[in-house]
Amino acid sequence: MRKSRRHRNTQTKSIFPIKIDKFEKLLKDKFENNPDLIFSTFDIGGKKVCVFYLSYQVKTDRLDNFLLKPLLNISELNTPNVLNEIPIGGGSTTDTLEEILEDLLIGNVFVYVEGEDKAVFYLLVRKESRDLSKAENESVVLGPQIAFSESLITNLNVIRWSIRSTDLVLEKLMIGKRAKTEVRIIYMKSIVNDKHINTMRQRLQDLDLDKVDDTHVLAQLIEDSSSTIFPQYYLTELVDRFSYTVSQGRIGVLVDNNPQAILAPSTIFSFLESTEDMYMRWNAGSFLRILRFIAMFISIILTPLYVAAVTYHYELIPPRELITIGQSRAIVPFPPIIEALFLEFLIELLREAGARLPSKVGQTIGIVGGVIIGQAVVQAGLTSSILIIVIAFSALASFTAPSYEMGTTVRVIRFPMIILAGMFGLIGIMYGLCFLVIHVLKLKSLGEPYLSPIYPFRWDDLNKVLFRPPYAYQYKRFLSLRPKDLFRFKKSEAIKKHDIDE
Amino acid sequence: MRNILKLVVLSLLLITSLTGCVQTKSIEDLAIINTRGVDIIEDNKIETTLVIYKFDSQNQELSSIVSGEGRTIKGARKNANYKTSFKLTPGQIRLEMFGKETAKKGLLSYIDTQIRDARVSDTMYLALSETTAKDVIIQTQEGSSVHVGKYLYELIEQNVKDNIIPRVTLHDFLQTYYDNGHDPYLPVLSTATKSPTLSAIALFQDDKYVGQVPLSDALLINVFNKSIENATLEVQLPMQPFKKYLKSERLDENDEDTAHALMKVLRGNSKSKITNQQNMQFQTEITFNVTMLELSEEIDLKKPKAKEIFEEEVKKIFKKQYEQLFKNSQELNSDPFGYGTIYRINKHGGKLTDKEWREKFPDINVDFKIDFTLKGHGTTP
Repeated sequence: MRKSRRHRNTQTKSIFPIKIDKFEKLLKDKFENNPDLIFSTFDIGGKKVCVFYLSYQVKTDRLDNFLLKPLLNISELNTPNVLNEIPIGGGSTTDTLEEILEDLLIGNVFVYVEGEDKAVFYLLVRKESRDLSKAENESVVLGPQIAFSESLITNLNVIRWSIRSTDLVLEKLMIGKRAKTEVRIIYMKSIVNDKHINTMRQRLQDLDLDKVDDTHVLAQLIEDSSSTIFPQYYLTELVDRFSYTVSQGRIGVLVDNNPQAILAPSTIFSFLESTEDMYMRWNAGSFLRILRFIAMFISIILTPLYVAAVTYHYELIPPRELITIGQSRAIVPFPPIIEALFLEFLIELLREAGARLPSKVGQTIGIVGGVIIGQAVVQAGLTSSILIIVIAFSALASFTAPSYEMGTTVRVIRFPMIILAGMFGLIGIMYGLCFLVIHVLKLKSLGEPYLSPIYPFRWDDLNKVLFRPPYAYQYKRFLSLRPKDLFRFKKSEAIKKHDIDE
Repeated sequence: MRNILKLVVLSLLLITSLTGCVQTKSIEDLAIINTRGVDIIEDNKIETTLVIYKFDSQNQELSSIVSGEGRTIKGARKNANYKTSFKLTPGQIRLEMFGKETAKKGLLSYIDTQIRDARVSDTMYLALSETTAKDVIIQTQEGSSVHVGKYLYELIEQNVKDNIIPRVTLHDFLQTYYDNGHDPYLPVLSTATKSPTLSAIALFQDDKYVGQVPLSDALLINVFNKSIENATLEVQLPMQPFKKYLKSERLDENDEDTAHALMKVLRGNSKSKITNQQNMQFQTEITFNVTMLELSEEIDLKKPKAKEIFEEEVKKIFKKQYEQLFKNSQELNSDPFGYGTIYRINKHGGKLTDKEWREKFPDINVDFKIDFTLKGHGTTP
């Protein structure tokens, strides 16, 4: 901040010294129709002094006790004396109008003694924020439940406490031309690959926009490919996930007023792994992770497969299942593709309605959707009962993704797949899958391949994405990202037992 | 960017508007053939009897039988299609049955369509009927309430899984057919009793039926194809050698002089080799490891001597059975064991035509060596 201030001082002219009446008029003009600027003038020992601030941005009790009271007792008023006598730390001086206006907005109180060539200001910021609470969107069973809040200061505080290291860098950037927003790039300087830091910094600095609305928007502004449906940065609200990822050599980005953090670079596997995999024992953790991979695959493939099999490839259906499927299909008047799209649409409606409704009414949706519609749809002969199971299965599978964005992506991908399957059968599904694979292969996240370590293949990294080995074998960091320090600890030390009774 | 958008819109439009080209086969519009019977009727016409599934919301009857005539299998199906409102499709055929008279003329021309059609499964079973295929299907339908196609298919599948008969899928048939010096075999279904029963194993010369051997020989043939497990063996033994090892004194001396034993095969396999190329001398080693499940007389098999005698007796019986089976197949001039293949492999140049083997097969000699071990006799007092 200081750096930027000095930088600006050289460009703009000082407005001081100035008469207080004139100064007041100048400020009021800038804050036209704005009653919140408090501008009070005192006459102390024959000298005029003004104190001005925005009422709701400032802690008024501190202002009264520690600024106004001592100010009135100062015997000889001038700028050095004010700085000296007032018992608040961090007082600074300024002399340009732009800076005064800017600092007023973030909760500074200004004191100007008439005739002096500088105004003194103190940061007495009052910032309202919600308390830290449990994660709402990324709920976990094990591990810390705490989630980021909207206040950047609180978030930084939490991060500092969870990574107590001088290595941790919290680089500050101000983004937005019209309304500035504070953005922090957070990384471990002895681990992270400099290339990633430079890329991220450059992308953020190059942003030319009036205002940053939200972390999600920022993430979309700095992503590698805008046309794709796949999210390229993992957005987390979990503090433990954030600190784990950063300590493994990736970059986190926090935006003021937003409870989400960007994690970069992310691979497609980042969206399928949960911090719980780490907290579980390795075998259970591996199981859960593999379960999620299977779930994603099922979610994309199952309904299209049903449509293709029933429309074109009746040979594929096992003989025992053939009768059940055939009989339940016989009552349905639509072709399978319409039937499947109809039911998928219904499920999406239920999900969307459930998300939009107030939580008090939300339960009704579950009952209406799950029980009544499911039963009635079959009895009305609109869909076959087998399809209900298929759709429910794939919908459930899509909700296992730890990332809500990824879950949505998978659900959206299903629709073109169903249409392809309904029009071309298995060939269509194959076409769709090939398209997906090629597309994902071409994607990048912060310049790193989206599909790494599968492509480009890195044997050493497989144990971090596909499954999870015991901790003694996780002695390396993610090789594909080329961190400065690859090794977390020595493997030979880790597998050694050091019990007292040996 | 705009050009790309135009291209995308245009191609989407084309994709959606040109989809009429792919013919759909919605399951509810199909009559799915489950079992097909093929017979030759007068004038060299083919009659097919089809057991079909059809899914009709109005009609609860799931399966029905239709038949059609024609010069070709597909032609007969087309003819049968005139009699039903559903489209007959062959993709789910599980069993194809042929009348015996049909089989005598050669099967290959009838299964040709199955080989060509990629939609048809290679793992469907083939079988012969003692009379005509139509007979078996119609009688099964009338005789019982079970679903014909499912019943016949599962009858064969069950016995194949239990290793009672060799696997007789379309694939196996073709493999043995095209393998020079190896002849196919198929199970025979008869309707002598009310319900269809496996009655024999039919032997083929190439694709032509030449004769049959009893069902009990099926296991013996099966050992040549694969290592078998869990099959049951039943043998009849003379009581004479075991007199000393009976647990209790027999009360009446006029009791039967044979004992019956039922054993489970833990492992059975065979190894054949050619021992003398000039004299066409073959040797086959057959190994059976069994455990006793049931024994009609109380022979004390705990005694090593008794066990030894038991094993010797069974070996004799098996040797006799194998020699009989071999003689039968030589008389029919059909080689279900695949000795021709062994001969071909060891022959200089490695070439053998079917015709050549037909001339040679009746003259070959095989020395059967049976290795029979009783691994367990169950808990006995």
